[in-house]
This record gives sequence, C-alpha cells and structure tokens, in this order.
Amino acid sequence: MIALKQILVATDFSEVADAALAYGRELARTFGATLHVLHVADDVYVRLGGDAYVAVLPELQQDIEKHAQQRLAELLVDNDKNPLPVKPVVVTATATALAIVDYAAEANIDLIVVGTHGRGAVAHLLMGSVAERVVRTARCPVLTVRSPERDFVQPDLPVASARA
Amino acid sequence: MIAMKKVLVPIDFAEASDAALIYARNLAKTFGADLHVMHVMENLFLRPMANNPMAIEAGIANRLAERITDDDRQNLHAIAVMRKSDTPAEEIVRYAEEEKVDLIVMGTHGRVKVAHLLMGSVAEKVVRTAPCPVLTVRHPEREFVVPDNVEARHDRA
Repeated sequence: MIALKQILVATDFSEVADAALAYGRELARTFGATLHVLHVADDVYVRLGGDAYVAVLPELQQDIEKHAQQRLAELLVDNDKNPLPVKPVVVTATATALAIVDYAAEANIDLIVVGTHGRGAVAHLLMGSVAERVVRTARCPVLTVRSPERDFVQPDLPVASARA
Repeated sequence: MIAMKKVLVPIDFAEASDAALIYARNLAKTFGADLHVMHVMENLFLRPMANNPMAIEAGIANRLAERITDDDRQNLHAIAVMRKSDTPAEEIVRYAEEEKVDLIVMGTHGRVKVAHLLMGSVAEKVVRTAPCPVLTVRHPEREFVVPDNVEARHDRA
C-alpha cells in the first residue's frame, strides 16, 4: 500500500527542474498528495559578504527572494479542474542540497523529486551534483528525473511527442 | 499523465533492496506496470574458488525467484533477470536501455562512509547514467510505502 501524502519538488527553474515538477505534479495527482515546490535562493551575505557591500545586501537579498517567489508563482499556474494543494517555498541558503534535505525532514516529506543533468562532464564526476547529494543524504525516497530521455510522465497535451 | 509500463528493481538481497522491491511492487501495481526483478552477480568463473560456481549460481537464481511472489507473477507479469557482470551499474543501465524501462527503483545503503564518498555506490552510478527516472530508497527511515501482509514476510530479516 502506498501512502504518499507530501511530495517535494526542488527547482532551480532549469529545464530538468521543470521535468521534475511534471513528475511531482502527476504523482501528487495520482496519490492525492500535497505538492511542495521548493526553491533554494542564494544567500548573498555569504556569497558577497565583504564590508563594502553590507549596506546594499539586505535589499539585494530581498530582491532575490522576491524574484524567486514570483518565478515559483508563475511555475505553479495550473489549469487543472481539481487544483492540487500546492505549497511554494523559498528558502535562503548556500548549501542547496542540505537545505532541500532539511526542509524534507521538517515538512515530513514522503518523496523528494529532483532533476539531474544526467551524463556528466568531468566536473560533475568529481564533485557530484545537488541531486546526487540529495540522494545520498535524504531520509526519504528520492526520485531523480532527467530531461528528456525516457519519461514515464507524458505531457498533458494530446500532441504526439517525437519519441521513437 | 503517467505512462509507466516497466519497472526495474535491481536487488542485491540486502535490506535496502528489499525495501526497494516493496516500493517497486507497489508502484507497478498502482500504474499497471510489469515488474522486472534483477540481480547482477559477479562472474565467478573469473575467480579462483573452492566451490562449484554452477552451484552458487543456481543458489542465487533460487533466492531471486523466492523474492517474487505468486501475486507478482500473476498480476505484475513479474520476471526474474540474472546477469553476470563485474560492473553492476553498467549492466543495470544497459538492461534499462534495452528493455525500455520506465523507472528503476534501487536501495541505497544509507549514511556516508569515506569509501562511499570517494567511489559512489552502485545506486549513485545508476542515478548518474540511467536513461530513465530512478527512485532511490533507503532502509528504513521514512517510507511512503506501508507493507501489507503479503510482503511483511520479506522485510523482517
């Protein structure tokens, strides 16, 4: 029996993140789960925090967070007849993977869906991606989705995809 | 719309892969997919050993078959897949490509060790190279699948 009540999709607004969102959305629909959509915003204090910048940083940080919230809101426009319960969340942190895993623990998430950039460059091999870190450290199951090789979620539109 | 027709669950008979099997079974049931239960064994013929490799292979084949319930066979068209390879991640990915698998479900062995950090586990390699989405399951912290009676036998070691 599957009890899937809280699904978390982590997004950086990239193409693979959109693919992850499509999966999260469909799974949430199928299982009647709440969909949490999380964006981890960069922490400018840590990133740029020299003395010279301190005066402008609070505004910059606010801008970044506001912008992230807007983009999340755009992402979540949903033409569904039965709208999903959706929770957009913006968290500010420098360690993205850690922020995702922490949020999942706090919000009692049952499944995390993340996009991964797939077959990697050398840097990727050496460092591992955010997705890999989430896989390694999350306490709940993690679905990694790549774009767009073989997908079990099909787009809603009846337009046939070009897949062979 | 979700079109999930084939679910592949590679298992190594560890606790984590039992958890993965439970997830795979339940997802296959939910979406009407076929279940492929796979074990990649070492190529014993390449190793000096006292036991008869044939006997060991037969034993593993039996264990694999035991993991698949009658219900799996009837309702999920479950099949057991045995492969011999010294690079299990590659073998799993190759099979997923050949068979056009829609989802791979794998157990991961939990918390970080140094060796693990350096080398990555089989599951991580599969995550990195699979042609399809991969669900990784860790045993047994937070789970969205609640075992029902039929499966309860398997997950208590």
